[in-house]
Order: sequence, then C-alpha cells, then structure tokens
Amino acid sequence: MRTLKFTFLLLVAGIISYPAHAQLGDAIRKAQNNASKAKRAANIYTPWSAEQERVIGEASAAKLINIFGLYENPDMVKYVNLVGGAVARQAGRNVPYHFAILDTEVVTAVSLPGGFVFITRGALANIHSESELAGTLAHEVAHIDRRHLEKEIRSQKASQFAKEETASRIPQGAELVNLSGEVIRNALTLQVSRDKETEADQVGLDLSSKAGYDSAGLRNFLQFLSQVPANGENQKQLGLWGSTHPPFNERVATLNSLLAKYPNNGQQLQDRYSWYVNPLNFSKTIQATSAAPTSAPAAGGAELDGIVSGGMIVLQSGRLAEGTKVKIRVVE
Amino acid sequence: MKNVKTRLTVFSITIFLIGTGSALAIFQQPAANQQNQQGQQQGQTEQQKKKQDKNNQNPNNPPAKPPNDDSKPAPLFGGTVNLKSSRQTKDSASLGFNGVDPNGQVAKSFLIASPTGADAAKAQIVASYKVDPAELNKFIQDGSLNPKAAPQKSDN
Repeated sequence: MRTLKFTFLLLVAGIISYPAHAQLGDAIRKAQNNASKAKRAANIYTPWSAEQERVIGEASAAKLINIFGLYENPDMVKYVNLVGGAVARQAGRNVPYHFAILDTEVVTAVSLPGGFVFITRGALANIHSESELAGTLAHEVAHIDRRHLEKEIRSQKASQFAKEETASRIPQGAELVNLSGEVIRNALTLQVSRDKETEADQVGLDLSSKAGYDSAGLRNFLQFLSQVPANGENQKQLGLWGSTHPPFNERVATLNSLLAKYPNNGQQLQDRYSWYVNPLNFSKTIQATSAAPTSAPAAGGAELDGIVSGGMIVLQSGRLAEGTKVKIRVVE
Repeated sequence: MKNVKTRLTVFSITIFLIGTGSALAIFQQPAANQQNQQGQQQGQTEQQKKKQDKNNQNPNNPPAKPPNDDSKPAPLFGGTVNLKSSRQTKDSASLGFNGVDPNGQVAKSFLIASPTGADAAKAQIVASYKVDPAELNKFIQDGSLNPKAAPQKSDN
C-alpha cells in the first residue's frame, strides 16, 4: 500500500514535470530567437564595406544599362562627370563617384550603391542650366552619401545576403544577380520614403551650395517639371520619376523653405550648360528652338566658336541658318 | 529486498517520465521556429503587396493643370510648356523611350531580365571612368565655383 502511494506520488511528479520542461524549452527557444534577432539587427545596421558596395553597385549598374541603354557621347559624359565631381567632392563619405547618361527619353536620375549616378537624356534635354544639373546630381549623391538605398534593402531583409552574418563576404553568382535585381527593383519601382527624400533634398542643396552653385538649381528644375501638363507623352517621360518620388509641388515647397537659409549668390552657368549639352542641337522640338539664343543667324564671313561633339559641330554662341554653307578651320 | 526493487522500478518510471517531458519540449522547438519563420515571411509578403498596391493607387503624376500661383517663376519656355525630347538624328542616341511602358513605368519583363555581358562591360567602363583632377580643378576655376573640397570621413 505504501509502495503504491509512493508510485502514485512519483507519477504525479512526472506529469507535473512535463510543463516545467516545456517551459524550459520555451525559455531556450526565446533565448535562441533573441540571439538570432540581435545578430540580424546587427547585420542590418552594419553598412556594406567599400568592396561590397562596389561589387553590388556595378552589378546593379549593368542591370540598369540593360533596361535603358547607355548614352555614350564622350563630351557630354565628361561634362556630367565634371559637374558631378564638383558637387561630390563636397560630400563627406569617401566614395568613388561615377556619373553616366542613360539612353532614354524618360526624365529621371537614379543613384546606386558604390557611387553610381545616372541621369537620362530626357532629363538633360529639360534642364536649363548647370546649377539645375548640379542640384539634380547633388540630390543623387546625397542618397549615396547617406546609404539610403542600401538601408532600404537591408531593412527589408528580403535578400539572403542581408541575413548573412559576415559583413565582409562579397556576393557573387546567382546571389549577386538576385541582389542587384532587388536594388534595381527598389530604385525603379518603390517610392523613396519621405524622410529619406527630404534628407536627400536637404543634403543635396547643401552640397550644390557648398560647391558654389546657385542653391535653387534643383528647385528650379522641379518647378519646371511641376508645370508640365499631364498629357500622354509627358506622362511617359515623367511617370517613373512620379512613381518613385513625392509630388513635384510638395518637393518644391520643401526646397523653398530650405532655400531661405542659403546664400543666393551661387553660379547658374546657363551658357556653359548650353555649350556642352547644347539644347539647340540636342533637341529637335519647336519648344527647344524657342529656348535657343534669339540672335540673328551669322552672316557670311563670320567666325563662330564651337566644338565637335558626338560627330556634330556644336556652336558655343551664335547660330547658322538652315542650309548655310560653311568651311571649317580646325583650331586645335 | 522487495522494497528496494519496488523503489528502483518507481525511480525508473520517474526518470522515464522526466526524460519524455524534456524530449517533447525540445522537439517542439524546431517546429515552433519553422512556424515563426513562415509567419514572418508571410508578413513580409503581405507588407510588400500592400506597398505595391499603395504605389499603384497613388502615382505621383504631374498635376493636370499648371498652378496659378503668381509668386512662382514662370516656365522657362514661352507658350505651352511641354517636355522636350532629346531625340537626335546624328549620333548614337536610340531615339526612344527605352525601358518603360506608355505610363512611364518600367516594364516587369525588363526588371526580371538579366544583363548581358555587353551590359556588364559597359558598367565596368562607367566604373573605371575618371575625371583628371587637374581638369576638374580648371573646370571649377572657370565656373568660379568653390575650389575647396570638404574633408572626407573614412566611412560612416
């Protein structure tokens, strides 16, 4: 009888011990989850190394070029790099910046990790001065300087790479293809968060102003775009910008409030922009002609300065009537 | 002697029960982890879906009419403001809206396409393009821009 009692008590103790062990299991599981969360969080906020950024940026650039094509006019590419270089040297983070032109009518600019900044032919055709170009490029430089796209990718935790524990591993093969696809999908289809966009406007304004440009450059360009009527052709040109950025009017208002703090004696450099990008020859629309210098065509015997760009002679100033016969004297 | 035997049996039963309890609790962990992960993935997918829906519903299209605010500067071109085209007839431009559909959005087929070797080579050219520092300095000087560069941090 005594033994039976003892057995019963032990049986009860055993049954009671099950939930106790289950609780112990829960505690172990919680601890493991917390540890893995902490690891993931540490990884999310660990920035990509310079080499990781370069590799991911270059693979993403190849994908962007696959979508839009690359515009390879050497003079214009050089000019965009000079303007971009002038603003990028005011940025704090040490990144090797590369500026290039995408071969599309779409009006937009895109930045990728690793210092890749792309502006489109369509954007260049609608910018009216070097300060507007500088403001646009400075905004993209700011996105890279503050690692906006990279942070977006890491916070989404969608890529296997973002979950990796090591910060020094360089992605390659299929992993790199997937990651660069993710970067481009983010850059071209998702709306940039308001706070990041405002930060890029603020920092970009700072960079272009410190570089010596008229700080209202980006504001002026966005203001021009905000006044474009919504017809099919314009929608095609601006749809991409519209879907990835806050509305133009909203950004113009934000920039207007920020501009009050900046000096208004910066350089606009409209002539130099016309010299390199030359809207007169860069565009064949009627609107472009109306924006061109209104001086009378040069008369016979006149000497005009110009450069050869993309196989064409681009005049620095003055203009020639259609069909004018010319003789070219090469100066240098 | 009999008592000792009984106690041993009872002790064995107890150990068995405790052991079973532990095993059950530990085996539950992977299953629970898996469920957790599945839940997280589902949550992420739903979040992405919601984000996409939001984008589709609220495209930031240019305004239908130009604003009538007199304080804002007038368009830089007279007459009807229309975006300019950069179409060129005499160089390498492709004369088109590469990459986008009629709404100006990047077509899905482009997003999933893999870059070719030629694209990778072009990206490498972009990456290796360098402006001569002396030329940049001259460019800055010619434009009366700021010759001083900001001090650079190693990283942040």
